[in-house]
Amino acid sequence: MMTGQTATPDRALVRIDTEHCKGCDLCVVACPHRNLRLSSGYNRSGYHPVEFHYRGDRGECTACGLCYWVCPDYAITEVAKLRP
Amino acid sequence: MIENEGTLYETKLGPLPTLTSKPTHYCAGCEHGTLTHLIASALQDLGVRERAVLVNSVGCSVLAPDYLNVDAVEAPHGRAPAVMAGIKRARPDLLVFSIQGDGDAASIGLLELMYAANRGDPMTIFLVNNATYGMTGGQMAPTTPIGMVTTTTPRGRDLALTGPPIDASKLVASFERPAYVRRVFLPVTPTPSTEFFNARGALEGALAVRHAFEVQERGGFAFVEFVSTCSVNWKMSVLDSKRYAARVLAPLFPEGVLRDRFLLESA
Ligand SMILES: Cc1ncc(C[n+]2csc(CCOP(=O)(O)OP(=O)(O)O)c2C)c(N)n1
Ligand code: SF4
Ligand code: SF4
Ligand code: SF4
Repeated sequence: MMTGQTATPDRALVRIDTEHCKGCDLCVVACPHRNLRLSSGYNRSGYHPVEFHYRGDRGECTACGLCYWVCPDYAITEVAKLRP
Repeated sequence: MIENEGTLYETKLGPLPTLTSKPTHYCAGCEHGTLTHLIASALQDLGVRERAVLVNSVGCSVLAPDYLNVDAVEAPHGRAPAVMAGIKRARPDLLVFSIQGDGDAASIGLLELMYAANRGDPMTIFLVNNATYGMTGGQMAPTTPIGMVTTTTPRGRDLALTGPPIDASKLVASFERPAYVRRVFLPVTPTPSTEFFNARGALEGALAVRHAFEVQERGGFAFVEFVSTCSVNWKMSVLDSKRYAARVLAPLFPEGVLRDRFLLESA
């Protein structure tokens, strides 16, 4: 099941499967712009799933894909770039 | 291509048909899951899913066939290399691979690993070295560092009593025939003086997995060791386990290409 789609302000889009996320923090610490954070809510397994959050001071999401590659639960299901 | 609120986006990375939709049983933050994703990605890129056969180990990766969309055979504990050798002889057209723990490959199955390496049979072995027996609750493994507290070494692993940790990559590379031997540090790595962790390990790992399949396609024996963590049995938080791995395991099991007969690394 695919849930919890979140978009960045402009340039990129990251899709998160919030039911597969285990809130391990790896994508949070690996994102060079700190654009991901654990949400305060719960998923059905009782984890705080990741949500996209544009912090603003380090730049927008660049669709670099680091969150996609580090996630052990492949819960970052899609990384997309704005069509030129 | 996806549309979101009227804007069009081009997919750079997406869901993989080589993965099932089943949630994994792996603990949060475990490299077993990361490796599953890397393998799925390589199988997809190389277009070999239909020919791929996972020969399964015993350990936390025992449920890997639930997550990878490939055919699978369960081997007795540690014996995946022997089973792969048999499959490959009967059906050389298939692509065989194993995901083995350090207890599986470097303890109970060490002999099968050594003989397969000595023969240089075409196969691909992925070793998840988390320095412990994960599935059974954190006993000392052959790869446990000296001093590490485990359930069977409550005062820390004792050098005089158990000898030093086994270096599986070096051992495999000591044989003449393996075509590809590489060790990758898979966890995210803390960067000094910043709040960030470096994700280079996963990117290097993706490349190593790909090469390990390509080597088998050329008739070679490929072995990739992934230095990993086991936060639950190390009794640490996920991020502390990454810090421990960087501090203790990285110097003990240094990264590197120990063999690259087909020169894939420089290509
Ligand atoms: C023949 C046999 N002996 C012992 C066991 C118990 N056993 C299950 S998993 C395991 C070791 C798992 O450790 P490792 O291979 O390092 O994999 P991990 O779970 O850490 O990934 C053992 C000893 C077994 N299942 N079969
Ligand atoms: S794609 Fe890169 S910049 Fe965007 S959220 Fe993921 S890690 Fe951060
Ligand atoms: S790495 Fe994956 S499982 Fe961990 S917090 Fe991020 S999305 Fe969730
Ligand atoms: S017990 Fe350890 S190796 Fe097994 S899934 Fe959990 S963290 Fe990973």
